[in-house]
Amino acid sequence: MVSCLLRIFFGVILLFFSTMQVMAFDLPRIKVTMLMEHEGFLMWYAKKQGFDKKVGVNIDLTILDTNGIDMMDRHRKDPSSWNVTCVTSIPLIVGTNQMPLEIVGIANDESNTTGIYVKPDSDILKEKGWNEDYPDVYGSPETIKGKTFAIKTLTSGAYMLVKYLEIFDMDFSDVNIVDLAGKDSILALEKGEVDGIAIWSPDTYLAEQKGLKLVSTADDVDAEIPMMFLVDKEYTEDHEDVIAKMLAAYMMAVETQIENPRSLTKDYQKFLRKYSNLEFSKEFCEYDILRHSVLPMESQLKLFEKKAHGKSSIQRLESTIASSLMLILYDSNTSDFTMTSKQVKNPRFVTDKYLKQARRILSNIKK
Amino acid sequence: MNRFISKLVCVCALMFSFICSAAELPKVKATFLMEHEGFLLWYAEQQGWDKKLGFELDLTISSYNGLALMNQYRKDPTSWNISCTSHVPFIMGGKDVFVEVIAIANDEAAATSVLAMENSDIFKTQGYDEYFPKVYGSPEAIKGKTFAFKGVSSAIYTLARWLDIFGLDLNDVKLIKFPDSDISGELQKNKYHALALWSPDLNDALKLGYKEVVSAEQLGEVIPCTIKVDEKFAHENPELVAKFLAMYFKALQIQLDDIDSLVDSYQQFYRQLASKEYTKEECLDDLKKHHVTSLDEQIKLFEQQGHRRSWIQNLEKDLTSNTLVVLKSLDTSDIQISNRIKSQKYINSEYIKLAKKYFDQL
Repeated sequence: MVSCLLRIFFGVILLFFSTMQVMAFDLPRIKVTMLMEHEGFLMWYAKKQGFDKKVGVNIDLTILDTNGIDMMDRHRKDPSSWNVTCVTSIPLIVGTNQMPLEIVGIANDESNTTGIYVKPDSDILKEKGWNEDYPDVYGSPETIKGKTFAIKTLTSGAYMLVKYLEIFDMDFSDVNIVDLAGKDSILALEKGEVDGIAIWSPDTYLAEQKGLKLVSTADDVDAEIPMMFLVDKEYTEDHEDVIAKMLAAYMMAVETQIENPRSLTKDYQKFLRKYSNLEFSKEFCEYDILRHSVLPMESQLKLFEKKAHGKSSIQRLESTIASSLMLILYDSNTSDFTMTSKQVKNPRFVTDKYLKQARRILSNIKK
Repeated sequence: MNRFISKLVCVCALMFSFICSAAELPKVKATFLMEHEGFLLWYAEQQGWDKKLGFELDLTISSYNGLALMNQYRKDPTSWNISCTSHVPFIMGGKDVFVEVIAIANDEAAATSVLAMENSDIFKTQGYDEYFPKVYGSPEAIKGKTFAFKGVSSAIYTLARWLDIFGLDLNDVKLIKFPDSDISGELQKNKYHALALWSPDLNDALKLGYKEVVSAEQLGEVIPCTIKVDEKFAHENPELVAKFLAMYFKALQIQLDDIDSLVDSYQQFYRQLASKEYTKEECLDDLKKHHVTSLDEQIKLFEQQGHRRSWIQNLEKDLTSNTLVVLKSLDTSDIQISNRIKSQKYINSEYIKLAKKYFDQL
């Protein structure tokens, strides 16, 4: 009798788990590849908390410690490598090479966590607020002219350096540029091979740990750096609801950050440890989360709304970045304009329809 | 007899001194386009304000487009000391053109338009985009149509901005460049489905059966024509440049104070220099379509408070940004961009400030 009951009990348990599995298996899958940084963390957190399952989607998440251009390259080589990714506008504009991608949402804004750093004894630190409209920015034309800056070309670092120079009425021709990425650029600065670097979080943590000084954040010089969710246009055709659900899951993590950002600190530390094999202090993790601004649903929808001249804020921002990149890429001594203009693509597909759908999903859950 | 001889000598000496003084007047070579700002300068010359300020204006009125003026300078930097073009030719064709932007001659956004033949199906749809309720066109009606234009200019910029409303760019239409400056003659010989032009050719086209699809102003654009001076000439002759500006601003001020008084002269300008006949109403209407800003106001627009960027620096930056993005699909060897547009160092606010004292003398 007992054994019979036990059999029934285990049978029920087995049935329960298998149903669970089938349920999870049945959920539509979406391949999402994110960078190893704050927005990647929020997606990871959304998955960890089961937000994806809650809204009825299975996020197949990959986290990579790389850059946006590489994300684009991966997709070009193998279009099935991801359905959704999240990068700044720059790789989207210069790295898409006819790949049809659609901007469907904003993950966060990196303008507070992207910055120019110098050594503590740099004369760039001698003057602050030279241009009265930018009171928090260090530097003056005299101390900047002729200096060598390490940046990774065609990244938000390059974009912010242009915007920084602009407030002094200068451009790349007034400084020397070395093409170096995050950690390598920090090393070069320490060795004195370069005078300044433009980097973003979490590399900024390393820079600050080494005593390097912040000259300006991207936000200080009005360089907006939103991280955009990009979806493969072909994928969007049959997966509208899946994309909306993925956005809804991400927005649930965004809500947690807005309501109680400090509650994310431990998980952020765990995330960074897991994917970078480096230990980041609890203080940095808390600081970095607080510095990354995220946009609630309603604010996002406003940015996607058409405004003056029939353009949304997002479209206007994309145009500004596109023209800045053309000026970075173009050199009248070596390149011709047609060549440069072909490198720069204007993102044509920008939509708020998935965000609107995600808003409905979230409000249904709350009901 | 002796008295007669001495009188003759005196008269001769006097005449000689007049000739000498006229010959000694420093010269400013200016080439302006056959349009509104060319008229204002011509009018100022007619009034003799150059001589009054102690210089001689050597004015050439040119008729094709601003890019031609850039090309002329590139071939021979002494071909003009001062010129005036919209932003587009300077941004897209300013390579090796070492000039400084020193003032705004006018804004011709209301006089730069896209036109189409009256029976064009472009006119079938109005308000395709709710943000532009008065603007004609739909993607279906526009795609593949032929547009004639006067080279890389603010008119093609306006065309591209208009196409952008429909999600199209310059690759979606056929472009034909007008062979020469005789637009009216060309339009009588050949029919084009649509055109991108500015005044006065715009007015001629309207008379020949074309209808306005959209003006740059309706698209929310500004098309400032800026006065540009050869950098070397200006640095060597700052007072002369200031006097030149004073003379231009004097004419500009008359447009602000008493626009009607310019109508006859405007009519005469086109009659005399272009053999074109416009009615007084047409002249007045065209003058009104060219918005001008006074010297005092422009001094403020050019001024940098501390190290802050000036209004004009920000405007030029935005125009550069828009021009590059909007015209990037234009594939022509005419485009020669200078590295100088990467920042706005080419703007110089010194001359407009210097001009004030001479302006007050007129």
